[in-house]
This record gives sequence, C-alpha cells and structure tokens, in this order.
Amino acid sequence: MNRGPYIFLGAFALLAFSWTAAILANQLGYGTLTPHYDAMEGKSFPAPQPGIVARGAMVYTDLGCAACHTQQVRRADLGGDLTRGWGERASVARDYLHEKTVQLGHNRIGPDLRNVGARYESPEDFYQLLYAPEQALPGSNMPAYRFLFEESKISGERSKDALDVAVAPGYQVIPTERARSLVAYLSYLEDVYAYPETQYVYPEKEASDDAAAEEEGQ
Amino acid sequence: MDPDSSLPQSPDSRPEWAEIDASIKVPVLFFVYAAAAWLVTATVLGFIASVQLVQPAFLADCAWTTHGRIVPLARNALIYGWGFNAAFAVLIWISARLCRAPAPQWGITLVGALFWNIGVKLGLIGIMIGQSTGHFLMEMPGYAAAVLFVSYGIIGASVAIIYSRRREGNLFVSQWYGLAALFWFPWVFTIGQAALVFGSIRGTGQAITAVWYGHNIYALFLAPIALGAIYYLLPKRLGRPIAGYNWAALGFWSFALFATFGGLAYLAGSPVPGWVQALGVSSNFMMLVPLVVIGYNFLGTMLGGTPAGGSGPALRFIKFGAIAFLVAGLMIKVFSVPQIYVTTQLTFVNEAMNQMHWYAFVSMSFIGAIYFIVPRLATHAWPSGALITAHFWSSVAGVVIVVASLVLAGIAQGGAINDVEAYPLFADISAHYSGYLVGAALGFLTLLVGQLAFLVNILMAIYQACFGGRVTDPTPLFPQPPVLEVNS
Repeated sequence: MNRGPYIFLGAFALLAFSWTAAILANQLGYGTLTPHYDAMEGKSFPAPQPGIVARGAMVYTDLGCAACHTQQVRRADLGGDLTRGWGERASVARDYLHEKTVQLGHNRIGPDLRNVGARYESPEDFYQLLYAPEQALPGSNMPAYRFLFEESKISGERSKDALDVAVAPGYQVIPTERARSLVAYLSYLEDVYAYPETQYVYPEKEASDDAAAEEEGQ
Repeated sequence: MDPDSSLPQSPDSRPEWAEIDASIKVPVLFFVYAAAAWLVTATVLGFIASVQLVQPAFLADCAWTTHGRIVPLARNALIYGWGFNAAFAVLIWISARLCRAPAPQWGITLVGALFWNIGVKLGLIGIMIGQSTGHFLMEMPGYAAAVLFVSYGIIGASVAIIYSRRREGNLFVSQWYGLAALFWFPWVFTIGQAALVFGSIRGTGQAITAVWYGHNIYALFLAPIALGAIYYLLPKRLGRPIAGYNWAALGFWSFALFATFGGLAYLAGSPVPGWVQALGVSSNFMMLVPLVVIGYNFLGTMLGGTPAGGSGPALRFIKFGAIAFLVAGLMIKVFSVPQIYVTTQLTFVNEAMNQMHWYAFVSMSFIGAIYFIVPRLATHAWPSGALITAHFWSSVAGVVIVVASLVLAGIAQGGAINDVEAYPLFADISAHYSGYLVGAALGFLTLLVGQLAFLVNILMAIYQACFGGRVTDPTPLFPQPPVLEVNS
C-alpha cells in the first residue's frame, strides 16, 4: 500500500497542531498584553527602556550572559529564589514586555539577574564585578570582562569615570561605551512594581497583608 | 561504478545497487567527512567551555572566546555541523536504498551540501563576533539562517525526488520517519525564524517559541532520522524482522505527537501561562506510550528468539543508541516530577539531558549508520578496526562520564541554590559542585580521543574510495543476514 501521501498529510496536520497549541494559542492568549498604567503614580509599568538600556540589553545578548544567568524569579513554592532575595515577588509575563530579546535562561551557574538592579546600588559595583569578579566576590566563578574596559595612561587629571581598582601607577581603567550600556541595562532590571496579577496569581506577604487590611476595613 | 566480481553475490551487490550507490556516493561521503570534522570541532569547543567553568580565566580576555559565546558555538557546531550533516548522509542512504531509486544529479546535492556547511561557518563566525540572536539553537544571525534554508531546500528536494522515483511501493517504518522529518524541519525552521529572528513576538512568548523550536529540532528532525536508522539497521544486522512491527505505526505517531511539546517542560515555573507548563510536563509523561512501543520494537528485535545472524561495528553503536533512547526517555520522566524538578530545573541537569538526547542517542545511532554506509559506498573495508574499537569505547566512556557528571553537578547545584541557609553565597554553591565539572571536562576529552580516531578512519576510507583501486576482499566486512531491506 502506498502510504506516502498519508504520512505527508499526517505530518503536516501534526505540525500544524503543535504550532497552533504552542505558539498561536499563546500569541492570541497574551500576545497583546500591555504595560499597566498606574493612575496614582502617573506612570506605566514596566518602565520603557531608554536608548542606553536597550543597547545594554544587546550587549547582554551578544556576550551570551544567558549561558550562566537566568532572568526569572520563581514562585515561593519552587525553590529558594525569594528567600535568596532575588526578588520581592515572582516574575510575571508583563515584566518582559519591553525586552527586545527575552532571555529567561536555562542554567543558574551565576545568580538570577532579573532584579539585580535592586540589589546593587551604584554602577561602580557592577564595573568592579565585570572587571575583576574574583576581587569583588571572592570565590566567584565568573570570568573577568577586561575587554569591556580600557586601560590608559593618565594625562593631566585622573578621569572621574576611572575605576577604583589596583593598576600600575600613572594608569587608569575606564569603562567603554559597551560596559556603560551593559551596566545601565543591569541597573534597569528591577521588577518591584506590584501588578494586579502579582497579587492574585502569586499571593505573597504583601498581598495577604492587603487582603487582611481590606477585611478589617469592612 | 564497476560492480566487482569479487563481491559476494548477496543482495548488497545486485546490479541495481551499483547504480543507486553511484548516484549518492559523492554527496554522502562528503556529508560524512563534514559531519566528522564538525564533531571534532564541537567537542573541542565543548571541552573549552567545560574548562572555563572550572578555570574562569581560561580564554576570557578576548570577547570572541568568552564563555557566553563558546557555549552557543559548541551547541550550534554539534547540532547544525555534526548532527545535520550526519542526518543528511543517513537520510539520503536510507531513502535511496529503501526506495530502490537512484538520487538525481549528485552534483546538485553536493552544491547544497557545500552551501549548508558555508552557512554553518557563517553562523558560527556571526556568534563569535557578537551577532548572536540570543535564542536557544537559533543563535545564528539571520543571514546565516537564510543560507541554511536555501541549502536545505536543495538537499531536501533531492531526497524528495528519490521518494517520488521509488520502485518499491511499500514504505518501511524507517521511511516514515525519514519522509516526515524531511518536511518537519523546514516548517519548524521557518516558524522559529519568522517568529523570533525576522519577526518579533513580544514578551515571554519568545521563550515559548524558542524552547518549542529548540526541542523540535531534536524531536522532529534529528530523533526521527536516528530512529529510522535504528529501525533500518537492527533487523538488517541481526537477521531478524522487527519485533511487533505492526505496532511501529503507533510508536511513530505517538512519538511525534508527544515529543513535539516536550520542550515546554523547560518552562515549568517560568513566567508563562500555567497550561503551557502543564502541557510540557504531561507530554513528557505521555511519552511513555511511544517509549513502550518503540522499546518493544527495539528490545524485542535485539533479544529475539532466533540466534543473531550478523555483527559488525555498526551494530554496537546502533544498540547503544537504541538503549540510550530508552534511558533518556525514562530520565526525562524522572526530571519531570515536580518534587524533583524543584531542584533540578535551571541547573546542569538540562545540559545533561541535552547530551543524553543529542549525543548518547542521536549521535551514536548516526555513527552506527555511518559505520554501515561508508564501506558499502567506498567498496572497501574500514581501514582500521582498532580505530573503530577505540572510537566505540571512548564514546561509551565519554558519554557516560559527561552525562553522569552533569547530572550530579546539577543535583548538587540545585540543592545548594534552594538551601539558602547552608549556602548563602554563590561562591559556596559553585565550589560545592565544581568537582563534578572537572569530570565533565575529562569526559569531553575522552570523547575527543574517539572522535579523532573516527575522523582519521573516515579520511583514510575516503582516500581508499578515491584512489584505492581494486576492491579488497570485502567478505569479512559484509556478513549478509537474510534480506530485510524492505518490509515483509
């Protein structure tokens, strides 16, 4: 019996089904999700990415940071993300609306970075980590990204952007444009806003406090 | 090609095979050579990546060789370099032999093959100089993807023409897998590229599309062709029909249906809709159906009642691949249990499962098929039996060491990440599992030894095929089991 056409049609139907279920259904389901406008604050969340942040996200992509870092804070019942202080709440789909390339990541060789902007206050901390991770975090297995910095001879005054690192006398280390963008992006990663869905889908401490307060009010 | 009178009068040397073999000889041997060279490249890159995990300063000072670029380079070289070239060789051979039809114009297929390899090189250079798209297994920049797509069109069309010319009406199970994979890959590729590289889906829909694509490159292209190779070679080399052949159709359709959603399980716990996570995890459990059916076909054939008729180097690799397929299927179920994936998700266990699927199952099956195909096309025995033995044992040892080290590393890593009190600092966590990563690096080195032996053997075989002159005595090489070329 010539089964060729049946195999072809069956294979086509199967792939169409797979595509419909996995991709099309999601696109229809939440592909049109929009940022949340908070009338009280007069701003929408997540905040739009300024140009330097968008460029930094591209540096993050091209250096392959996602090989070792995830960008997803998991729920309290799935591991120790929240106790580790990687976020105030679990990540939700809306957090990623402005990311050109969403990189959730597959392996946590380093810590999760979805909220890293909330954990490090100054850009200097990030520069130190990128230039000499072993000094900034003893025992760290992160490679140094020296190629994101320029070592130059001090002519006249030391640059105000120069890093506070050990370097030969008369020399200074200055972050390149790529390093500045990358650090601007990392500082931008700060998912602290409580969307309506963060309270209901992932009930946490704050949400239950709110609920308790409401009940008291009634 | 001149059918030599010294060949035994077995089905392999019927005059029509000579015509078929002549029509596919050059492109298939080219694919085999390119595949083996990529395999060595991929393993060298994998070794560098695993050394960098233990020695972060290794090759870290240059952006081109930073760890975040070496990892996708190794992965893409393994899949698109080794995996696809080997898959093309196996697919063309199986299609031509089982359809009993010659391929059209081998020169055109060869052009497709050359451009495929140019596309892979362009893509890897793109990743190296910082043009990665950042999506799993789709890291190659768009221009390289376009070259791959067009070359696949040429290669795929020549396989499709073989099917359209077939003289054998019945389609054997290997041909179902081959025919379906032939069409699935371009569809999956188009969907993935259109959604992520050339178009843009917003938000975490990107992550869903990326895992769907990445897993389906395995589930709807590499795995079907590897399964087809096992279905083809097991009965042929053992001299027994497939046990429970009538069930094979159920295995085929259920494998495709459930495996296609398996990738979504990587997103369990991620910020994507809950039903997507449930679909992925439950598909991994439903894979029990094809696993039982295909397992019955494979194990039943291997352990069948009648004494085995054949042997040879191909059989050892094929048996290993068949068993690895079943073991991988059971492992994925274990790691899909919620109480377990709480620990093992987002750890080296993911990488271990990739190695299990891509290397232990798919690659070992392809290698087995290549050991079967090349001597028949070259009409020469493999130049060195010792190199084959070295390749087999170093592959077995290497893949077991790599997978075991990565699983142990992942369990230690996931346990430590979730235990905040005992491991408050990330440096403590990496110190906790780095010993296992040394094991993984040694495993890659072990694999590399065998693959170099493989490459040397292939180069010598191709040299013999081109300049070897008369056919050497092929009798020990072609112990013929009863003909099982097409379904009975």
